[in-house]
Amino acid sequence: MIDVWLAEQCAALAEHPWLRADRALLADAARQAVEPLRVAVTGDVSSGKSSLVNALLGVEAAAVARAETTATVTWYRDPALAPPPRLGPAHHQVRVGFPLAGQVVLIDTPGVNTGSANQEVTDAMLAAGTEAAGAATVVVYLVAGPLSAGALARVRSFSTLVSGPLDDGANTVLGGAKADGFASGAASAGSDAARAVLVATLLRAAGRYASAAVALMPALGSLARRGAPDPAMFDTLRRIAGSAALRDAVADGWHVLASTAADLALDEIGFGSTFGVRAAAALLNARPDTDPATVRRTWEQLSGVPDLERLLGRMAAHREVYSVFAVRGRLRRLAARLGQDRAGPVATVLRELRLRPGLVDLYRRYVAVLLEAGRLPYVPDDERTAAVALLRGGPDLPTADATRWRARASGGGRAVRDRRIAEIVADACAARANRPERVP
Amino acid sequence: MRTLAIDFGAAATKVAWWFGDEARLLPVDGQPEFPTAVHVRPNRELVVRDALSYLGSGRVVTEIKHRVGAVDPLPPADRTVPVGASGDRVALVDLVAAVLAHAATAAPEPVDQVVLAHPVSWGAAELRLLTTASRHAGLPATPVLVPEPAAAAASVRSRTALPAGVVAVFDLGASTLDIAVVDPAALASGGPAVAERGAATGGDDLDAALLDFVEEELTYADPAELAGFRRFRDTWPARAALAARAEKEALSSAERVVFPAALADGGQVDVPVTREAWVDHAEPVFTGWLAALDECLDSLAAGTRPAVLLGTGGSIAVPAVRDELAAAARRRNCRLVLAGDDGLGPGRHVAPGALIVAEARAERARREAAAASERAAKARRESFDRELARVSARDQITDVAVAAVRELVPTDAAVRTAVSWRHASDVITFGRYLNGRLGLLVLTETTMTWSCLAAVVTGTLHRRDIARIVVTRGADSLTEYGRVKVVRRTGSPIRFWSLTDAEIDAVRRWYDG
Repeated sequence: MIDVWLAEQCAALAEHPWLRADRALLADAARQAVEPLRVAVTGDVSSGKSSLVNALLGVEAAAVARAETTATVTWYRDPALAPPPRLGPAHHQVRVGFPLAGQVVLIDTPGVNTGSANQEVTDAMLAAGTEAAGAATVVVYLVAGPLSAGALARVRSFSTLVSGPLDDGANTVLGGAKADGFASGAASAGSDAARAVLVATLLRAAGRYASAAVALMPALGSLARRGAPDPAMFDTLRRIAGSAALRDAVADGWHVLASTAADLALDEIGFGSTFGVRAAAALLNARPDTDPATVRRTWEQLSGVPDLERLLGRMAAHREVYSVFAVRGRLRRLAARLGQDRAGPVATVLRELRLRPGLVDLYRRYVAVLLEAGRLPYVPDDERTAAVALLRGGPDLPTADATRWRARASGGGRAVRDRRIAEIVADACAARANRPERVP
Repeated sequence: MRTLAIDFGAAATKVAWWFGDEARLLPVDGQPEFPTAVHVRPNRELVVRDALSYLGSGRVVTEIKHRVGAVDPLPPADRTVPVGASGDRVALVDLVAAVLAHAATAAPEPVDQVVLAHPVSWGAAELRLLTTASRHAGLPATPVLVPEPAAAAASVRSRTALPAGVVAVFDLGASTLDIAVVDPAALASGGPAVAERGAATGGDDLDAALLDFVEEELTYADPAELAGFRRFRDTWPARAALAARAEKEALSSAERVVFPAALADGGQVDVPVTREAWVDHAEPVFTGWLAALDECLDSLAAGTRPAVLLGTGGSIAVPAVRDELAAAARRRNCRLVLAGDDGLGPGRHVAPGALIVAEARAERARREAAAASERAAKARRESFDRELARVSARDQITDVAVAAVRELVPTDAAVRTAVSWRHASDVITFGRYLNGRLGLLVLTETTMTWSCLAAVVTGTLHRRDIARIVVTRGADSLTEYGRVKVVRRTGSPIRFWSLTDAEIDAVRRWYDG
């Protein structure tokens, strides 16, 4: 297990007399290597970041543990985990259970693109040259509109910090927040088609610096996770569903609805999601016997939060792949900062890491992650699936497949990264072919 | 010394030689460089010359250098590499040796010394493979190893004024990006880089981006054409890459080209491409390079921020790359120096630079050896002086004698023990011996009433070669009376020292009693 070995090395470095000043960083890196996947949620201001964190924490944890994060980074960890090392006064630690706590350490950061000083602590985690740089292993970056130049720069900066050896962006997830307001061409706001376009647009804008994008309605997700709709809200929804005028008013915007039916209990759902109300109204209109729990489940699904949780869960299943490369990046930058005279012990660990017996296997699993994330889109799905299985120790590839992967590795006209990915697949095939037969 | 430098590159290999006092590239097969590729014939013979013309055989190995630095459970010297899709494998060290041997064919004279450039990130195992391959290639033993960024900086510095100090080298090859922050002087003398970062990217990514752009343009055209182009890319990737490279190079000077998109059925579709549209499409590639540069530079301690950003490698010839580097240099308040602006070509500095670094190292070694020798001589002189002072005080040797010793004993003669000799006879043997090479006879006042010193210095004579030392006396010849001679075992005298008249007179008075 390379993660365990790396954690031990980082812990040993933390005790090295030359590295006293970097003890906190090294202790944190040691923890990062082995603890659940560290996922930071950040993004532009007013992108629904707080709502998303609330939704991910779940109703109970959010109620008791949600901290104000305008100026500090808040780390949410499962109480079963050991107390975390301190990264500095800007980092606040909360030990609390939440749905993904067994797989993820959730990091809530101040919003960025604000122009205020509060974002500095977030920027410190997203750019090289600070202790906290790369302390998060995965970033979910929320954008409320088109990907701005500032957002793109941050996404790229983070991606470069924690990426694997192919500078892939596999550690970055873009969240298209306020997907309920997004419409595209004939696709109406919030529809599945519009959401798909939003995801594609984000991924295209981010280039190769993100591995996935999720269309989100954080406010709706937060609302559903808090137990909405309550009876009063449900009654409002029923009234809207039952009135064509009110349904039209919802479509035209809350200000119209508010002036049309001032007695409606709009406060909470008003800020939740227009799309959520319309969806619930449509549901209730079609099936008047729909109960509040069904509306809640519908809202939850529409919010995209379960999609994000599934995605993070899948990433967490390959935690070692992400964490080892993230920690390696931190050590590499530390060595550069220490300079030639003092970097010796860190450089030694980095050199030894390259020689670890399990590193080739880690690279294979890493390439499997990249293929699953859709790299080499021109490779047929069945070949891709078979290759992923092979890289994770599954069955051998058919000879024709192996030949094609070898040709992709040595052929031109594709990105260098694609050729390296193909090469690792082809090498895995060859390693199988050269494997000595077992003696009964 | 006839020295050959080889830049074993990822895509192409270059060779350099001294022409007078100028390090220049040597043509190989009539070209300034040759592809780093090996054609493995079915009989396992390795052929480097024109290897790429055998691409269709499926038995050509490229990316050899990448294989050396790749993550692999085996050390590089033990690795084998697949030969295309043929199923055969060949030892990596043999491939490297074949490339080096082919490079060496360019040498106009027999080579005394070989200099090999290597990525700064290569560790002991990779360098061991390079050394072994050099030996297998029949090149002189113990090659001089020079990190590529140090070589590039040295070559550029030999043509362009560069300030001293730390340099960020941005080396963009066809399939590699190596960023190294180095103090060229320290690196050339064997010190580590300040920071280094490699990335699996390079100029080939711009070719791929161009092909992707064409493919995207074809999505608005006939679906059959799009399918045909995709099939062509999958079936003949090398031909697609060659076409893209040609159009990429054309876009370096032209604002617009017409890309001849070949189709799998033999047809062709012309797709207009503007430089602006292509650069826009390739934007993630550019920003990826700059993000890697930023990460490397941001992680440095404040005192090691480079003052110069040095762009090298064949792919910096692309105007858009140069623009991006210029912008990065402005942001970093660095001076941008682009290798290639000096006429040598952007990717051709490493081999000549390696020669320069090797020569500078040799010159420094010579200077250091001379300085060390001088320091040792001085130490011996001081030791001798101390011993002489001790003996002269003990034996009451006069200043005249001491001065004679100083005159006679060469400065590089090490003195272990000064000789105290109080006996004169016809045949005088050494009572004590100095440093295995120095015989010193001292006649002191206590035994001879006057201060007479005869020192025999045999700086080139070993003790075993000395049969005896003779002080010649005789009534017949006063002039010979005070002469001292050393006799070799062969019997021939090797040196005489004449005493002054006063000394001879004093000896005679004493001897006569």
